[in-house]
Amino acid sequence: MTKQLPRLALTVAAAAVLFPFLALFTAALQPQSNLSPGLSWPSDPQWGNFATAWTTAGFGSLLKSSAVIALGVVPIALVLATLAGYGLATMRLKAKGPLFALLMLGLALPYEAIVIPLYYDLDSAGLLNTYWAVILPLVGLFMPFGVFWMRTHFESLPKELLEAAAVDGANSWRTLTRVLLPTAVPALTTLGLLYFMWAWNQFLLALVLIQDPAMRTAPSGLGKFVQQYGKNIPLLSAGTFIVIAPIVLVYLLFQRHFIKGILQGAVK
Amino acid sequence: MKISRVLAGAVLVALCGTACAPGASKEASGAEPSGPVKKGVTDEKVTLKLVSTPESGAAVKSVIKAFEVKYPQVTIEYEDNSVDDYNKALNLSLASDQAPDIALLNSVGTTVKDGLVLDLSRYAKAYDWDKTYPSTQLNQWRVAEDGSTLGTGGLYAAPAGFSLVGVYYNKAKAAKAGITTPPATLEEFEDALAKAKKAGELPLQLGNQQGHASFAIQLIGQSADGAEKAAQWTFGQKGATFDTPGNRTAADRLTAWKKKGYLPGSANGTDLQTAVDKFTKGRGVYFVDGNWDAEKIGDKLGKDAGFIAFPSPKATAIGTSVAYAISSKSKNADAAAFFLDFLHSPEASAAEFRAGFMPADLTAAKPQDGTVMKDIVTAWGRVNEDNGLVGFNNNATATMNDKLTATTQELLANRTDTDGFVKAIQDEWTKTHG
Amino acid sequence: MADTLVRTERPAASAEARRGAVAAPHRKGRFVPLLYVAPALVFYALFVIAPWLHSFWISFWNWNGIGAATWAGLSNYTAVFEEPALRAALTHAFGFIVFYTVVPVILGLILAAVTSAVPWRAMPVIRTIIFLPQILPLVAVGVVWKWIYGEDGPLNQMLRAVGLGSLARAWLGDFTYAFPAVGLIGTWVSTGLCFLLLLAGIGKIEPSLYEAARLDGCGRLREFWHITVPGLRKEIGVACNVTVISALAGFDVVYVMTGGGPGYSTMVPGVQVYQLVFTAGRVGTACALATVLSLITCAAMYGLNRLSRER
Repeated sequence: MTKQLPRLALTVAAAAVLFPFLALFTAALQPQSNLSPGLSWPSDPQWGNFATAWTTAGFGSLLKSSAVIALGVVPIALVLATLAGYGLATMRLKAKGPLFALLMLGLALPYEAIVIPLYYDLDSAGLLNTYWAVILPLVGLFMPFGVFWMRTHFESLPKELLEAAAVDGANSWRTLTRVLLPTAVPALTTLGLLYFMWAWNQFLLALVLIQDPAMRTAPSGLGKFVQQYGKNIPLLSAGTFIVIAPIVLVYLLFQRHFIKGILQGAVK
Repeated sequence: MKISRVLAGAVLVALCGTACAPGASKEASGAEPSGPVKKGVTDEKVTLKLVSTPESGAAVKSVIKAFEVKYPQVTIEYEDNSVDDYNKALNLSLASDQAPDIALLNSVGTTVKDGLVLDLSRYAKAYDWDKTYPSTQLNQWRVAEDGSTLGTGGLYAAPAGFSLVGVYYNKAKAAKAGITTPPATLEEFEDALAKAKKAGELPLQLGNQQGHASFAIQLIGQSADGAEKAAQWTFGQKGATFDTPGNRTAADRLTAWKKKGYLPGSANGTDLQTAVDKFTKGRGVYFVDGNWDAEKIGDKLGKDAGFIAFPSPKATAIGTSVAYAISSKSKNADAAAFFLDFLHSPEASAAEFRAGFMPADLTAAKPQDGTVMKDIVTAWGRVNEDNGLVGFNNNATATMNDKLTATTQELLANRTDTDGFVKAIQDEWTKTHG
Repeated sequence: MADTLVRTERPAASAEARRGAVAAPHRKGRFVPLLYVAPALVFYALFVIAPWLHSFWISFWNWNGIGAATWAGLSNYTAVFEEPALRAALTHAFGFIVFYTVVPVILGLILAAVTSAVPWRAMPVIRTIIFLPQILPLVAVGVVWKWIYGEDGPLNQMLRAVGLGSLARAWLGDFTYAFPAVGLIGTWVSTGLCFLLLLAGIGKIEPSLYEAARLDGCGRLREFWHITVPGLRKEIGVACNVTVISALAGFDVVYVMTGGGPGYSTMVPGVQVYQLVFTAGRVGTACALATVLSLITCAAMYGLNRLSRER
């Protein structure tokens, strides 16, 4: 009994998470003539709905845009966050306190608060409607999390490592690249995966800063798809699966990194 | 310490960069060009960018094809975006450096006030648009000097086919309920609704998630108040008010119908397309909607689909044109205007009619007998004869659509009454036109 | 160029260098770390801080986003607090805290307390599933739930199947139910995160505390109140922090599901800001609302940090 109850609770919780998507999956296989299907296994599963959704919404180019944006953000943000994390970890300046506070601010700032001026600023810089319009602000927005993340990693290293490097006469750059970076691979992988997911899933920035629907991220494409095909539930469901499939796949492959990253990142 | 100084510097720089009034550098682009216009196109290669929405763009896509065949030196790039996104982004994209040349204008909003589109009066004169289109239809795109009063002044868009909102009905269901002749007055309409209810049918299908109850309200209101008076309000002309006997009756009727169960209980949670879908599946004897859904309803209901102008001794309808404007930033305004003129050509008219819009050239409208399109063409004729076409209340100001959506939802949910509704709408109007 | 950077010497014996593992640089190299931090800081200042200041600046103007602006003083701020639709948006943001934070933290706490003592081989799979909402695009989540709440959707279908058809309704079109219906999605998204955060926290509580409590004859409930909850103070604080921010700054779900309707019953600041800019052309007011919202989130975060670190 004492064992069964907790397990039942966990099973219920997991089922509550899965249920909407299983239901959606059955909906995605309904014939399109049945515009608003309820919950039932389709007698004749229409796998073709996925192909139809793929072509009507142009998900090919949307997934590509999401990938371009995500893959543009990740390397830049990783390099900057690593450098800054290292810098902060070695820093002994009085400015450290204010710098910390400033970065902390970024963790609480809602994207809505900056997206409007970004629109006008990027417009005058001629960057609006390019992938950079989303990539550059995302790198900026990702800095606080990444810098704290990498700093925590560098501070957690045994100091013997550094002392050895110093004895060998390594300067700070060599220390970072030769001694510290090899230890940072797991931390960087986790951070890179989180960055990838957040960029891939970005909705608001892509919606506002890129007018050409084909250049937006997959979720924003889904937003447009909802408006156009919102009542064709089978097609919409199929489209939703196309949009979430890549990120779910990445998640399943690297789930330890994702879970560890978000839990520890939150705790800091 | 140094950091804080650097930061202070950054703040200063940021502030200096913005220390002028926002947008001052983006002042509208100089004086409007004047002088004679060049009609037609030269042999020079020209590329124009046209933006639209999928619904309105269906027709224009085939018009573009026809145009490009005739004038191969002109290429027209077509781009569309869903209505909500489109309306939200239009002004900003017209103001940006990648502004399109030709843009669908769903409402005047603040687009003219901000100097984003050209005054087409010179082209209208050169191409005789005054003679091609009835004045009531062009007037919807005339904007006075103040940038918000409509109906007079410069012309800012050219029509490409017209929409009208009236009443669809399910002939089979109506006959079953004992409604033998289409209602001709509001009273007869209410009788018909009552009969439908008695026969166990849903009398009036409605989806109000996006505020489409405002169609019924406007139709009841303007058929009582008269099209001319109603138009003054939608045009934002001085002294007009929403607080009219007609609009009050409309709000009263709608709430009464809701109470009597004439409207679907879930109207606030149903969007227009779902309502169309339900109506075509036999849920609802009547349904207030525009001709843009005629094809869908005709396909599904076949010979059972009927359409009438809103029951009233003098026929009125809500209607506007699918109209295209030319960006102030366009470098090829003459070529763009030539394309706009092509919009009333026989080829274009036929394409527009195929897509469900009333063409400028009515000879292109050749519906088959017994179809809903035939009914719509008849209703269109009646409305024009009575000069009863009024623009959408939803377009009276830039924010009127949002306001009408929110307040009609409140009205249906008993969160406001007729007084509150009328006042809220008029207050919103006064913000722009007061 | 990097190789010309000043060499690091043996770590100074200061307390700071002892605490951190990384060598503290020689005096001459004091500003070297700054060079490392600078690129990140530039991006951050350019694309986060500067736009925020720009927004703050715009909030003092009447500006439609295109034409020339006129000075507005504080009138945009009075509008934020006086216009019913704008005020409603802020009120709803606070209301969402109940669904995004309070309920998930309580549920997560109970779930973590109940399950921590029971090892289970299926746990990795459960963890994978429960964590799933954290990685999904919220737009997709909104699409799914919009369908579930739909008039002919699975929820109503189930109600009808069990004879509760009279309760069925278009949930998102109902003034009474739309807000909690949208809010529950926050609960669905946040509960797994809170549970896993708190579960990890319980693992760090000294087992001896529980043993001592048991020797004293404490019941499970008292154990929960006197050991588990205080021991999780930090984790609870973190869970609140993360979820409060997502409650206040929500945009995607509401934008996709209701657009703020019916009426203004689910309007949130994010969607309101979007509409103010793109429909109403009131960029100044939108920026004022955005400023107020960001001040509220910062204040909330600061307050929660203080609370969870005390004692």
